[in-house]
Amino acid sequence: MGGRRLAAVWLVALAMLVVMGAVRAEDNIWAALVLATNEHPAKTAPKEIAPYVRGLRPVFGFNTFYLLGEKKQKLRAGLGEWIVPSKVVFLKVRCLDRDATSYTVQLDLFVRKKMVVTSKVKLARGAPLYIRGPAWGKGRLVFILEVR
Amino acid sequence: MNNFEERYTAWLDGALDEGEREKFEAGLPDCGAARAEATEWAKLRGLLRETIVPAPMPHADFLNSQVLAAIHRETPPAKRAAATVARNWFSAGRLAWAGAFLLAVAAGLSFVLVPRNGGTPTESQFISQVVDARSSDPKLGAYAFAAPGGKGAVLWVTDAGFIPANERIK
Repeated sequence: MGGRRLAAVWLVALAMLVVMGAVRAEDNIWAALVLATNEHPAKTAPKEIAPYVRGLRPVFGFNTFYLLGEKKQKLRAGLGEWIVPSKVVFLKVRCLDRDATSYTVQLDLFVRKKMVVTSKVKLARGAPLYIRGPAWGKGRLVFILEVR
Repeated sequence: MNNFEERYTAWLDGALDEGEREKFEAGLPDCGAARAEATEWAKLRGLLRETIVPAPMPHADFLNSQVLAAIHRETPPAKRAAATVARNWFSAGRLAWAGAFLLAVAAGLSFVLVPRNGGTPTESQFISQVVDARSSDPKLGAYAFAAPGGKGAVLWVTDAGFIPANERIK
């Protein structure tokens, strides 16, 4: 009987944890700073950004992509998070709102500590945002942002 | 062990570790007499262990039931009822109701706290979109369009600057 009671208590606690976990679940925003260049022959992209190459190639017109840095941050409503994969180019992300499928964020793009653009973006889970950054040599810096 | 009696008893029983024993023996006024007493005590203890053997209880269960019955007789009825209530508080029925109540509370909380858009999400809710983009620098431009594949988006910043190839990015 004691074992059955204990099992019942654990079951209730588990149910509470599952439901409250769903309530408190937070997503991460993943950001990658990519250098896009044209090389002959084209080089294979690293595995972290390989799934995005099909989207990057036609948009930016480059055939080779190098991952310069990546960051993952928790998205919490109202809080600003700095995403600094590079000291030259970085982002500030502030979560404005969230619904069941997406986050509305304010993105500030900084180049050499100067804010070049501020943007309000609705980021859905698994739907990346590509940001065209400054030119670097013969290539171009591109940010990839995705809610995961 | 603060007082001498406790330390002395422990010493007689051989319960002190080596450091404690040496310290204690150094502090004894007459170590020889104390050792003789310890030897005597060891002999006595051995003798007692050999001769005094606890007798097996023939009807232990019967005795236990008699003791319980006596306790039951001597406990006032009000106290007994309180003990029964306390024992039954975690009955299976009560636990089931408590579980149902807690689940209802959790479901209510999730309904209130989990953001929802009402009904089935539309396709646009799974697409990233640039709602607004501005630049404080009039020379810069920013516009947005959908990325190939349909789900992603592109924020296209024109003239976002130039970084020489010999400048370290990281």
